Amino acid sequence: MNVNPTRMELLRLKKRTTLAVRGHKLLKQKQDELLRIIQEIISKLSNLRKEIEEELLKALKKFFLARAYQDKKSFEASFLLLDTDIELSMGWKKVMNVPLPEYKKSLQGELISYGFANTSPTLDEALKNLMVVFDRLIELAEMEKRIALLAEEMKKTRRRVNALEYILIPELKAAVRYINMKLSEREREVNSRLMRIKDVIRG
Amino acid sequence: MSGFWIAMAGVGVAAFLSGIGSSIGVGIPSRAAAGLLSEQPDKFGKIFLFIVLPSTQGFYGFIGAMVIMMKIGLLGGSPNFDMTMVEGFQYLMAALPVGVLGLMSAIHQGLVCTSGVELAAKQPESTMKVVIFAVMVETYAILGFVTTFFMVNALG
Amino acid sequence: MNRFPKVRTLDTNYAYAAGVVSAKETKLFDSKHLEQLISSKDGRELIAALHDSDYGHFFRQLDSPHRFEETLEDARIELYNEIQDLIDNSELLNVLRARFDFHNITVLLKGKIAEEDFLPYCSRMGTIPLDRLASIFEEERYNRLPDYLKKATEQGIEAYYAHHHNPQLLNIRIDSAMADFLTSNEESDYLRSYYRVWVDVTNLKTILRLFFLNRYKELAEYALLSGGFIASEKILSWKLQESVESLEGFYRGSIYADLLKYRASFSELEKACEHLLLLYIKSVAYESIGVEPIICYLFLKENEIRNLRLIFIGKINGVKDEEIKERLII
Repeated sequence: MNVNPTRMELLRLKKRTTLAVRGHKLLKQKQDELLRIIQEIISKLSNLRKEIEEELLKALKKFFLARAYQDKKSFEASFLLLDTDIELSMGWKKVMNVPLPEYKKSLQGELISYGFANTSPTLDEALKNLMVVFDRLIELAEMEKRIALLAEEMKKTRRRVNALEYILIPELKAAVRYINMKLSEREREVNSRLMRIKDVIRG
Repeated sequence: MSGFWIAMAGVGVAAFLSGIGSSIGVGIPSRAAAGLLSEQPDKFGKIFLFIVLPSTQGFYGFIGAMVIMMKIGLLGGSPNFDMTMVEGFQYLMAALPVGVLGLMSAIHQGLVCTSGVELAAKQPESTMKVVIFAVMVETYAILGFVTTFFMVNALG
Repeated sequence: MNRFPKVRTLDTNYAYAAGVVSAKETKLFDSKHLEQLISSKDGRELIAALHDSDYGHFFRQLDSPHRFEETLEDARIELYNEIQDLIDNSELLNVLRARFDFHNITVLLKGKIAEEDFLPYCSRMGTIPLDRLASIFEEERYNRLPDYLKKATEQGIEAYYAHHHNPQLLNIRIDSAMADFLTSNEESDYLRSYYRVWVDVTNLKTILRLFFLNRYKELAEYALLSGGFIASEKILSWKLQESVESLEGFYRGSIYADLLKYRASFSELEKACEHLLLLYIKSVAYESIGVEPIICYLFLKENEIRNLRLIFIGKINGVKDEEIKERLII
């Protein structure tokens, strides 16, 4: 390391070292916290995924069976002109200084906007179920995106922690040691020179 | 006026009422049979009886008419023109059972036979049972004919 | 002149047709046959199993089970053409095909509003040829439609624009115009009564659906059809608003009371409703002459095609055999 072995530099480096150590400690804590959050989400996620799969299957089956009592054309015609508007908006929320997405679904108009005489009651049920599953799917997508972002952040943090732990802090410490050594060497040199001068003067 | 012409009306009643009955009675199951045969031509043997059964009333009426004609001398003999009005009416009355019964029973038998034709399509094995039902209707046509026969014989 | 209902006379005009139909009826699938079809492994095997049936000539050309809908539609078109050959009464045929006419005007009206071409969604089973219908809607010359369809079209448009562009009310209004038309036909007492029962059953389902959707108060006055044996006004004046439980009191003593037992499950309710209608249809099974057996055959065949569609959809989507069997309407 290329440093000026001066006292000023020493003081500065010492300050930097304590800062680096403190930062390292904080980052380490952040890393642990991130890990905890990710693990929490993952444990929720696998459950959610299983549940959604089941629900989706059930809702779809209902949907198919509702469809079976009508011919294809009259079924499709029921959905030709709809009053239903589904909007998906995205916002951000900061967790541990990581911006995480928040999806929000808003339904305008009525979900059921076909006539009643030629459609099956099971269809209402199926659509309502599908809507619930849809909400959960959005939740799932949100969680997956969050995990991806958190994992990215986690990687970054770990890199920083490692950089601090294995490069910056040892280097700083080495520099401090080097300056210390240099300084004490210089002191000893000065001392010996003084002793020599003293000898000369006496002799 | 001679009663002969009234007796002749009796001949007509016997033949034409039962004839109408039979033609309606044969007509209905025939159409059904034609419909059935268009889909299952092999059923002809099974349903032939149903077409024939309502036609018998026409025969009874015809025979009834013949019997009256013989009595009044139209067939093999000289026509009995100096019959009284009362005698003439008696022949007309005697003709009514076979005529009216033939008319009604033939139509209803036709309906039974139509059902029979349709049953022949769905359950060919039970067609004979419907034949029995149709024959039950036939009984009353026979009774009408027998009544006419005895009435005519009792006259003169 | 129509103050009194027509007394049924002996109608022998259809004796030939009844004969034809009685022969064709023997080819309808019975429940055993349907179960055999259900037990086939997948769509392909199902098609193969249908090769020897009455539908053979349709399914022999079908190579992929996913195109079964088109095949079933062809079968239905042929069915209606057959019936048209047997029934020589255009008024009656109008009633029998009315569903498709009303479907078509709904679709075309929606296309008009959305400014899109919805002709592919139209049914080919209506009384008016599709190209003619399309040109009528293109030029907006609704006068060229038959009176009952013209009225329905106008009511549909009016309902749509009067209620803030609400497509649901367009559907509902045309549906009720259809119910009015179907329940007022003079051609066949049997058919009219069928549609009146259909209206009653549909109303019952609609009430339950509206409660399920929490929209009874908002929609009941529009969505209930008139023309049934139970007048829609009577339903509306009944104190249903408070709770759906009072429905049982309302229907007590009618033939529809039993349907309410299936209130908890829509799929069972629907099956029970269709079953009731089928029972009505089959009530003329012992008639040998008249137009009834022909209409009966048409409905039975329609039901059969619906069952086939159910089996196809079930098989393609891997629904369990039992579940398909449960939904069959026999």
